[in-house]
Amino acid sequence: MSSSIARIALVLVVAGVRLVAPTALAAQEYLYVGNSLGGDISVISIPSHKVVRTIPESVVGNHPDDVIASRNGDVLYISRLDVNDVIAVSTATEQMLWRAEVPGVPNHLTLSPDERFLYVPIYDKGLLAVVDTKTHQVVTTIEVGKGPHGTQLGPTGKHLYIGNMESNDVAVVDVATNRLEKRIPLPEGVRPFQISRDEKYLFAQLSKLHGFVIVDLTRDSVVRTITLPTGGKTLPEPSLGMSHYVMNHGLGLSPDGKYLVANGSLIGITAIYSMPELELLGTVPVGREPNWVTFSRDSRYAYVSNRRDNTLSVISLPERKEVARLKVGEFPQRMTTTVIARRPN
Amino acid sequence: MSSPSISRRGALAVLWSAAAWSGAAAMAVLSGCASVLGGRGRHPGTAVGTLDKLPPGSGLRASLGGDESTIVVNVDGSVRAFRAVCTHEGCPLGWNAQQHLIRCPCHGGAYDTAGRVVSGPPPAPLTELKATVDHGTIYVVRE
Repeated sequence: MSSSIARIALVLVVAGVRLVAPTALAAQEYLYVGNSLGGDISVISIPSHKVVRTIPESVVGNHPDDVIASRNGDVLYISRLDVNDVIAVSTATEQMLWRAEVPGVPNHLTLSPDERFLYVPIYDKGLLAVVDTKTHQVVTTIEVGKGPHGTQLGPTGKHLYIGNMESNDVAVVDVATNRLEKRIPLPEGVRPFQISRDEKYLFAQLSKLHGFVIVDLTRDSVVRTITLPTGGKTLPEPSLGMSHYVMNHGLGLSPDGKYLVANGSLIGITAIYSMPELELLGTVPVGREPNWVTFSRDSRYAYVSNRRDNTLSVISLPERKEVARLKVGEFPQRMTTTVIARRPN
Repeated sequence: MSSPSISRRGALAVLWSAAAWSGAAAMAVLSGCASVLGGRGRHPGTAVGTLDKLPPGSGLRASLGGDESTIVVNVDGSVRAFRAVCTHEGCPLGWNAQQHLIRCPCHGGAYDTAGRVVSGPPPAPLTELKATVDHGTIYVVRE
């Protein structure tokens, strides 16, 4: 009798859990777009490209800067400018899991190869903070230069590269020892950058260059400068209203290694180059002030956030054209794609 | 003998031109009025909200049309407005209600309710705009 009651109770408990648990779905890819002024995250289904949900300001808020995902898609890590922290948000529940305070204004994040550590550049302190994702504490800080902004893990997983906006260089940190190895001088402030698959080259956008440079990492020097096309437009004169210290923001290498995609932020274009030849394949008009580039995992689509008109451009890479433009939140900047099995209804 | 006909054409042209100019001038005046009246009486600037939605200690962000926006704050009953453009890189600014600070969503610059830099990379304070309150409506004048 008691075992029957126990079984019934178990069934009820399980049924109850199912009622409140997130919906189980076949694994699907989503794009998470951080809306920096709105303080929320737009969730977009791939490949249907519909805004299916918004993770609200009440969960995120405080001007989110970067959003990245764990490799299994379970967790989003979001840096928040106003409160000097990084939060972890579950993609299944879209609720905050934990937060870690960092010693200044956090910018673009990167996870260590084993995802135990989160690398957080601290823009106003010239530091790289290393956050333990298990204890949620900063385990060490490393002086890396002035205005550290972007971070990228090299494909070998041995080196972390940090782009410094104000000291005009790229710092390289040995992730095994958390020690600064070197700083590679560049002509100007370093904006979004990428590392080639063989870790021999670094591609970097610079503050005042309408294009990007290619750095030979075996010689630590710029070996080529690519000027972006203007798409028949005239580059506007610098003005405070147009983020005059940054000509371009948004540079990505497609997961299949075939394309390099670069935004022309002041004139609202995105340029597509072949890899490794760096031949210009096409120029796509997008929204106003494109700010970031990311890709679907199959490399079919590039996504470009247009922060001045609160839209997202969906670019078909094989067709080299914009196939959709979606309204997202206020001042969309950084974003990430990930495959997840569950998300809330 | 052709001069009278030329004169008539000339006179017609002058009349048409005058009519066109008058119409254009009238449109310009009307459109100018629409932009400065703020929808209520003669006030310079744009109506950005009402004082009952801006109690002391609070702030809001409002559009001034186009890309221009303003942060309006109520400091102990005194309403002040600032151009919502960061002096670091020109990014649009937001209001953080918990912190009572004007914040930049690009690199984390922070300004107080007097427009002074509190922290982060901005090199200069914010530009203050003229704000007035009439019958509970707040008006802000673009630069």
